[in-house]
This record gives sequence, structure tokens and C-alpha cells, in this order.
Amino acid sequence: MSAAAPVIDAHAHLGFSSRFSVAGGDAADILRMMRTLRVDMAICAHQAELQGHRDQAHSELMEAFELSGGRILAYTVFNPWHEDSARWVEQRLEQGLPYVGIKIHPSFHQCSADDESYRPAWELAATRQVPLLSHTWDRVPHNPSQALSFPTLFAGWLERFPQVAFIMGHSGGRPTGHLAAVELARRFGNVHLDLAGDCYTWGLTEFLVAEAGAERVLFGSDFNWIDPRTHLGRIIAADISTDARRLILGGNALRLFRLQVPTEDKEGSHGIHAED
Amino acid sequence: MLISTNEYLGSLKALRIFDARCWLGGAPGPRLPAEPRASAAEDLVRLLDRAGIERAVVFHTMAVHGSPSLGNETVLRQVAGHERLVPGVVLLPDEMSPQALSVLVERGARLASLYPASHGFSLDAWCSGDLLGTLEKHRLPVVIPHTEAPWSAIERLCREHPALPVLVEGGQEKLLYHNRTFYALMAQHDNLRLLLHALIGWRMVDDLVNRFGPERLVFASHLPFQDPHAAAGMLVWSDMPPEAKERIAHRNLEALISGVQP
Repeated sequence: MSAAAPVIDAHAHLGFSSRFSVAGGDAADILRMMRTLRVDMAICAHQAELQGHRDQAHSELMEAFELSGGRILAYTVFNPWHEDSARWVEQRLEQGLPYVGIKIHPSFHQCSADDESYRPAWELAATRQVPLLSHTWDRVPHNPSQALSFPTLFAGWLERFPQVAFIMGHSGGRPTGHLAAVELARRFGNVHLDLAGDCYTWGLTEFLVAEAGAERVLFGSDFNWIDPRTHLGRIIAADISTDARRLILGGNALRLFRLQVPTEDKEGSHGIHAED
Repeated sequence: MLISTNEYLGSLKALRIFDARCWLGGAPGPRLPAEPRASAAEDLVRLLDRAGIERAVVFHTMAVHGSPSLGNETVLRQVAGHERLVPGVVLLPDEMSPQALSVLVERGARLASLYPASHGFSLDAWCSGDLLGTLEKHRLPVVIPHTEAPWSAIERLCREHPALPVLVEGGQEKLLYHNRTFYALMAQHDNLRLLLHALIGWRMVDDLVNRFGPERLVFASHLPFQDPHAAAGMLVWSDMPPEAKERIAHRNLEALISGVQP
């Protein structure tokens, strides 16, 4: 068996943070990495949009979409502190490509995930039928704002919006968060879990597949913060079935975001082989 | 680069990885049901096989969270007779005489590790000078998690003990947010090296190799607490020259260990 499976990074970034330096990491460099690893598509939230510099983010996302021949797609960011954020997000979704989803980040925006100000994001995800990705994390003493994204804080929204395809970015971040995230996934059929970030507990992939089902686990890397090879290694080597690996690497994202993988680019055919 | 699971594992095995940071014993924090654990050397050997890792330096979690002397004794006894396992020891400045350290080296200890924050001591000369001087005399490489000492203390350590190999790692908290600091340190101190599992930033491993050479990085996974394929994936799928991969995978650690003086 050697049929290529699509590989879609469902949790990535464009742009930069002032917190650390990055070797390369612009759209052209990201495309080089995607080609090397045969990652077919990536869905990115732009750092500048998270930071509130929306026009700059929009311009660069459009450029990346063009440069990549449609392989670099985008989340638009809902900021609960910006009065016109719902209007901004709606305009992006009305535009369509490259925008295929909404991202929220309770820790970065310093607003608890259960705060009522997130209602427009959930409503837009429901009416526009696009996935909603949120940063989720564990309660950790060295970074108190991570508690604002603890998985259980999303339960109220999940009860009210069962039709929204919700992606828990980082699957809760650390073990207590992972346990809470899979508990939510058991309760709510619209919860999906991604592997992005520096969450490298050995057995996490197997745990998520066993507890939530392979059809609800997504490959995400958090590039250009994190090296995507760290995530591909753990998925490729995970003790899961070939079918589960294919779903995680791209099948689930293909279905959730209703994507079509662009045809082969000039560099050659795509597809990490999800085979044993 | 098209790669399947079998191709990936084959490429990994061909690197003949020598892992500088593996663990026996449990940890006090929460764990996932699927997380592997190694309570005996045989468990760890099975996990190394599963991970495609050839050899490993092994520390005991008891030496970090409980008693360093008991943890060290346990790991020394458990790995004895296991050719693929090399003991690592956790040291305290007030409980480690030069004679006691010589005995640990005689019994096979080839890496040391320090936890100044967790174990309540300073790395400064007035507190740890004797211990650090003895480590330097033995050329016994020392691993320090970056969360255990301020970078300024690590800088002093490298400067005041230039013959002591200093290996900085990340544990659960990776080195992503500190690269402006440790890049500057790497440029100034040849005895500073970094463990691979902490270097998960975008193209960070390749960038460090380009700037400082492959001899400054050492493969480590933090197995079984961390997925070894996170570190391994960066090496397998890097386009650095094969000899650079070999250095990082096993030759650098072999050289450090062979440099340990009795």
C-alpha cells in the first residue's frame, strides 16, 4: 500500500512575535518547508491579526495565498476587546478564500474563554459553517493567563452551539489540560483536538485517538513558532492504524474545512505516505 | 522527500542514536494513561527499541524529586550489565566530595546533572565552586535545565570553568523563548552545548548548526516523558550533511563521554 494521503497543517501561523527571533519563517520559507515535508496545505492565523494589526495581516495572508497557489489558507481572528471584530470577521468570511475558519485566543487576548464577549465568534462560526479554532492550555504556575484557555471553560459554548466544528488547539496543552480536553470530546461530538504546540508527552497521539477517535484528531504544528518536523515525527511513528494516521495527517482537515488539495505543483507530487 | 512510517523508522535507526537524556522512575505530576513508563532497566531497553534509539544515558527521577544519592545508587545498580545504558547522576554541592565524585566516575557515571532551583542552591563559586571545579577536573559533562538557573549563572559557569562541557536543556519548558540569550552564549563559550529535544523552534536546529557547527548539539529525547520522535523528526528530515547528522545523533556524546577523566 503506498497511496499518498493529503497532509494538512490545521494550526499554523504567519507573521512574527517580538518574543523571540526566527530563522526565516516568512511565507516563502514556509512554502519551502511545506514542499520538503510534502505538506499539501496549511491554515494559518497571522500574528499581526492576533496583535490587532489587521490590515497588515490581511495583506500578507493574501500574498501568501497567491504565492502558494492556494496552499496557504487562513483563519481570521476574533478579538473580544474590539467592538468591530465581529464585522471584521464576517467580512473576511464573506470574502472566502484564503479564509476558511475563525481563531480565538483567550490567553493572548486576556479574556476568559467563557466570557460572553465571544458570542459573535460562535454565532459566526455557526451561521457561516466554518470551524472555530481556539488556543487551549493547562493551568500552569509560570504563565497564569493560560488558565483563561482551560478546556472546561468552553463547555457552555459547546452546549449552545452543537453545530460548530470546534477545534481545541493544543488539546489542552499539558496533561491535566489533555485530560480535560478529551473529557469534553466525550461529552460533545463537535469537539476536535489538534496536536500543535510544544506538547510532546509520549503517547499523546495514541491517547487522543483512543479517547476521542481518530476522526477527531488533527495534525497542527504551530509553525512558524514550532518546527513541524517535531509533529510529523510523532504522528508518523505513533502506534495507531494506517487509517487513523491518514485521518490525522489530513483527512479530517479535508472534511472539516471542505478543502480540495491543489493539484501538483512544479516541485513534484505531494503526500507523506501514511502506510505501515 | 517522500517518506513512509517504515522509511522514517529505517532512517532513524541508521542514525544509531545515542540519547543523552532518558529516565527511569515516575514523576509526581499528572500523567496520561497511554504514557509509557520505565521502572526498570529492561523497561527502558524495550522503550529504546520501540523508539529506534540505540543507546542512552539514564538518570533516575528519584534523584531529582527525592534523594539524589538514593536515585543515583538506584540507576547505577539498575543499568549495570546493560551495554546500551550509561548511568547519569544528579549532584548536590554539599553532599558531593571530590572522593565521592571519583567513585561515581569509577562506577561508570558519564554525565552529571544539576538542579539548583529545585534543590535550593546557587551555581555561584561561593556555593558550588568546589563541586564545579571537581567536575571540570574529571571533564564530567554537566546537564542543566534552563529553568533551574538564570542564564547569567550559566554564563558564569561556562566562563569560570572553560574545560567543563555544559549541556543546557529544556525539560517540559522548551528553549523557544530564550534564543536571543542562548545564541549569544553559544557565540561566546565553546564549552556550551544544547540538547536537541529543547530546540523545537522553527528551523532552530539547522540554524544552530549553520552558526556554530554540529559539534555543539547533542541528541536527547527526555524519554519516556517526551515523545522521542519530536527530536528525531528534526534530525531525520533535516537537509544538513550526513556527517553533521551523525555527529548530533551519536558522535558528539561519544566524544564527551570518552573525554571523562578518572
